[in-house]
Amino acid sequence: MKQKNIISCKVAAKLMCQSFDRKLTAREQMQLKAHLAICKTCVYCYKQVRTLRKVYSQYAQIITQLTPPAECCLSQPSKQKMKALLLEAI
Amino acid sequence: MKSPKSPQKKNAASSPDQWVDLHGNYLYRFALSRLRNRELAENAVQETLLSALTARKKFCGRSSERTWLIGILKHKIIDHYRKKYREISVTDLVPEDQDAVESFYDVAGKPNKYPSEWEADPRQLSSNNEFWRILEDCLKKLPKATADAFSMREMDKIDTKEICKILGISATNLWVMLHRARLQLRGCLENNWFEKKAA
Repeated sequence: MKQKNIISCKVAAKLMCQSFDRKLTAREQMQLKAHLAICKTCVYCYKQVRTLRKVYSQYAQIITQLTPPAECCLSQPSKQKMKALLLEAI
Repeated sequence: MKSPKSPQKKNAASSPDQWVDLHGNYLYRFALSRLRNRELAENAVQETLLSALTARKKFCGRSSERTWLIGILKHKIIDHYRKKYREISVTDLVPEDQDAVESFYDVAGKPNKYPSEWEADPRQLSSNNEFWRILEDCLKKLPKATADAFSMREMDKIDTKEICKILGISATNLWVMLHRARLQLRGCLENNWFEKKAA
């Protein structure tokens, strides 16, 4: 019975990623908790995925405050085209 | 003495012919970060401004003009996803090929490469343009639908049920897509950013 509760790093990674999107079952939670208690590798992996999520959500908030590289701005011809379309529609 | 029920200050609306100069680049960067394609981002901005023009009488100044425009742009981006994925079958959206994630593990499910400890402040990373170029490259290596799902979920915090509706897939399919996206991006960033910075 105990053997069934031992999961591999691959399964642990799947469960830790899915825990951000759905509620794990009680059994899955227990399996993941037990695995993380003994596996430093998966703890690092878990922390990395959490960092990735934090960085991504902060980016959404600050993207417009960053000094953008030139390729992240509208080109002058595009601006002119949009202005002309707006003026035509006003 | 301040009146306890003083009316909320309204945000002023600018003339539509100033919108491109005032908000164009801001809206474009917002769209580009979601759509990852210059042409699509430009189209989304253009459609947003034209829709805003039609609806400008509804803008009552409770939020800033820019926030109002971003609200319209968000809808345009979601509409784009809906149209894009309407005709695509689930098997194409969630490919059976799992090589990218499978290659991280041996047959016993142990990782082939051990992850390092990332010593990074998320706030500093998120304001680093060079880091974003690497992450954008990593996102481009994902199947398009997987990258879009990841972006909707992690950038705009859209509920999983809503993403399933937009992509026309089941919750189980979405969980698989997001799980693969996170692991692939983690691996890609480890190889292309954190290990290089540590070296």
